[in-house]
Amino acid sequence: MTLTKQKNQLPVFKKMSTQPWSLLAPLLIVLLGLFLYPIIEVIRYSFTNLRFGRIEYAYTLHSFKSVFTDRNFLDMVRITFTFVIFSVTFQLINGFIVAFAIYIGEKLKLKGSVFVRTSVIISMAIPGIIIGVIWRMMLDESPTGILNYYLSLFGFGPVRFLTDPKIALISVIIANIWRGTANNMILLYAGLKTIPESILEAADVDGAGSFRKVFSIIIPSISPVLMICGLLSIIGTFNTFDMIMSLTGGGPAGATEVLALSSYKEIFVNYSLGKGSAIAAIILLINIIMAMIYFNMNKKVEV
Amino acid sequence: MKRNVGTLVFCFALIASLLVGCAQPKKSNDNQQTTGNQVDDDTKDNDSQENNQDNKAEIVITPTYIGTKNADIVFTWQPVPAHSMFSTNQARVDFIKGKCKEWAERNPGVGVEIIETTTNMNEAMAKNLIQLASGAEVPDLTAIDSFIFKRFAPYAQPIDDILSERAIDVNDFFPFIQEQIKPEDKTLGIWYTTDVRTLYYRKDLIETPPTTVTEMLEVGKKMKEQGLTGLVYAATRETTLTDVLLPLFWGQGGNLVDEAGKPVFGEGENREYMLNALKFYSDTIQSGVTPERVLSIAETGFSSDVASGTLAMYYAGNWDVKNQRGVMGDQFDEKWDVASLPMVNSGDRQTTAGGWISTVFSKDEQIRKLAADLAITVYGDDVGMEGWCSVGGYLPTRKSIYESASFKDDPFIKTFKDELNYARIRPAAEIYPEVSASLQDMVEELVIGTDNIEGILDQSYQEVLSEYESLK
Repeated sequence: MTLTKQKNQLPVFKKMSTQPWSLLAPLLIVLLGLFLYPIIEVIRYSFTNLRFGRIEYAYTLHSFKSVFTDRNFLDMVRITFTFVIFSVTFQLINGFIVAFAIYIGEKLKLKGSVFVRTSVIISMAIPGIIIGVIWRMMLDESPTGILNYYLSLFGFGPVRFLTDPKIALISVIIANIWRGTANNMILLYAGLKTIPESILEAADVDGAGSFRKVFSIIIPSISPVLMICGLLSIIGTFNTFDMIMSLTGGGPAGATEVLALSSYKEIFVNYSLGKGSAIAAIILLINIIMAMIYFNMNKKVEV
Repeated sequence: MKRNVGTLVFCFALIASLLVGCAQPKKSNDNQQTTGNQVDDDTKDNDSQENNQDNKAEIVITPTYIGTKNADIVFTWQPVPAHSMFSTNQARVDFIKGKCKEWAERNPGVGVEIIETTTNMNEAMAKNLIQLASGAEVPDLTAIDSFIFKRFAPYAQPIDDILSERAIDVNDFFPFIQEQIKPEDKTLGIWYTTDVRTLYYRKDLIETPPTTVTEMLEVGKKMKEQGLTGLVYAATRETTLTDVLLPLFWGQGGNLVDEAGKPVFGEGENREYMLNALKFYSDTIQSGVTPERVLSIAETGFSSDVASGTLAMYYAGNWDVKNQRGVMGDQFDEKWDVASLPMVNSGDRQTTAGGWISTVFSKDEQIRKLAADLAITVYGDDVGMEGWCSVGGYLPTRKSIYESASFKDDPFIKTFKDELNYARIRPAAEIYPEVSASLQDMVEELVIGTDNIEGILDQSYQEVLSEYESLK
C-alpha cells in the first residue's frame, strides 16, 4: 500500500518529502511567526517614539537615551540584580534542601515523602499575581495584617514589610524564593536520583560522614544539574514582574521596581511603546547572554 | 493484543463522540440566525435568553446581543464590562437586562451586537483612537473614560436631537461635565456615571471638619494624642493624585499642562503651587499624623483602619460609603461624615471627579439616533440614571436625579452633590500618563523621606518635557 502511494507521487514531492528542511518547515514557520517576528518588532519599536493611541511615529534613539538618562535607571538595574542574585541563590539552596530531604525520606521509606513533594509543587501551580496578593495579605501593615498581628503578640512591630524601601525588597525576594523553590526542587530531585547507589555505599565503607558525603559526593555529582538549574532560574527571575506588581507595584518609591516591571509600566501604564520596548530590548540582551552561557554549559554536560 | 484492541476501541469512541458533538445541530428554531455575527455563542445565550412570546419577532437579551433576532438594522456597542451584562454584580446585570429589554421592545427590527472587552478598557480605547484617526471602523456606540474624552470628541456625533426627544436638558449636568460633553455648541455624549473625592472624618470626635491643610494637621495631632491615627490616604499610584495632590494643586490655581498639552507643572507659579501641594505629604508624615504605611494603601484599602475604630480622618471617593456600610453597617453612619477636601489656602475649594461617557461614532443617521437612544434608555434618562447609579454605587451626573427617591434621603449624598460643583477631571493631554507617573514617584519619595524635593521636581519636570518633545 505504502509502496503504491510512493510510486504515484510526483518526483518533486518525493524529493521534498525526503529533505530535512521540509520536515522542519512547520516548526520553522511557527518559530518565525510566533517567536522571531515579535522579537524583531520589539527591537524595531525600541528605536521609535511610538505610543499607544497615535498612528504616526519616527525612528529615533530617544527611547534608549530616555532609559539611560532616567534618574532611576541605575537604581533599577541594581535592584534587578539584587533581586535576581538573592532569589536564585536561595531558591537553589532551598530547592536542594527540600529535594535532599525527600530523597533521604524515600530512601528511609518515611511516610509523607510524597505528600511533602506534592505540597511544595503547589506553589508552582499558583499564578504570580495570586502569590503577590497572598503575600500582601500576610505582610499587610494595617491593623489586620497577619504577620504583624502575630509579631504584636510577642510585643514586636509593626514591621514596615512593604513600605520601608530596604525591607520591601527583602519581602519581595522572600516571596520570590518561596515561589521558585519548587521548580529547583524538582530538577535537583531528578539529579539526586541519578547518583549511583554504589558510590554512596563505597563512601559509607570508607567511613565518610554525612557532611563529607553531601559536599564531596552528592553536590559534585549533581553539579551540572545545579548549574543548569541556576541558569534557568536566573533567566526566569530576570523576566519576573507579575508577582511584584501585585505585591508592591514596584514601590515604595521604586524600591522594588525591576526592569521587567518597568517595561510593563512604560507600555501599559504610560503607553510609551518605544521606551517600554527599549527596556524590553535590554532585558532581551541579558537573557541572550544567559542563554549562551546555558548552551555552553549544556554542551559541556553532554560531552 | 487485547489491550491494543481496547485502546483502539477507546480512541474510536472518543473520536466518534467528538464528531457527533461537532455535528449536533443548533437548537431547533426557525428563526435561528444563520448568518453574520449576531448571536454566535449559543450556550451562553441560551442561558440568559429571554423570549418574548407576545412579539412575533423574537427578542433576545444576552450579554452579547440585544434586540430582534435576524434584525434588519444591526449596530455595535462597546460598553465597559462592569457596566454591562458581563458584570459580576448580579444587581447590575438584572438592571441592564431589564433596560435593554425595554429598549428592544420599543425598537422592533433592530439588533445590537455587544462587543466583549477585557477589563483593560484603556487598551480598547487606545485601539479605538487609532482606528478613528486612520478612518477605520469602530463600535457605533462606545464607552469612553471621561478624562480622555476630549481626544475622541472630534469623531463623536452630536446627540442633541435625541436628548431633546427624551426631555433631557444638558444644563442639568454638573458644570465640569458640560465642559466635556458640550465643548462647543453640540452635545457629543452622555456622561452617565461619576464619582467625587472628599474628606471622611469621625463626627463623634471632630466637631468641625478642617478646611485647610494647617487646620487638618492640628486636628490630626490632637487625634494622635488621643491614641488614634490622625489621617490616612492612598499614597501610591494614580489614586494619590486624584485624592490628594491634584485637588491641592488645582485648588491654588495650578495647571499640569497648557492648552497645547505641553507640561507646565514645573515652571513659574505652577512650580510653586506644586511644591506647596507636595509639602502636604512631608508635613503629614513628619508630624506623625499620618503613618508611612500609607504607601501600601490602595484606593479601597481603608476598611481595616475604619472598622478597627483607630482612625480619625481619611481621603477617599464617594464609593467608600458603600464599602464601609458593608463592613460596619449603621455604625458607619453614626460615627462618620464627609466634608470638602482641605486646601492649601483658606477659601479655596477643589475636588476631582471621574466617570464614563457613552458616545456615538456612527455617521449613519438611523444608527446614530438608535445608539444614542439606547445609551439614554439604559443609563441616561430619569429612570435609567437613578436605577443605574443606584445599583452601580455611582453618583448621578444630572443634578435633578439627586431629588429622586434613591438619593434624596442619603445623608452623605448631599455633600457629594455639593462637591461635584467644584470638581475637575484629569487633563486629556497625550503626555498625561508621563506626568502622572512622574508625580507618583515624587509623592512616594516624599513619604519615605527626602529633603531634596525641589531638585527632584525640577529633574522630573525636565524628563517629562523631554518625553513631550520626543512626541513632536
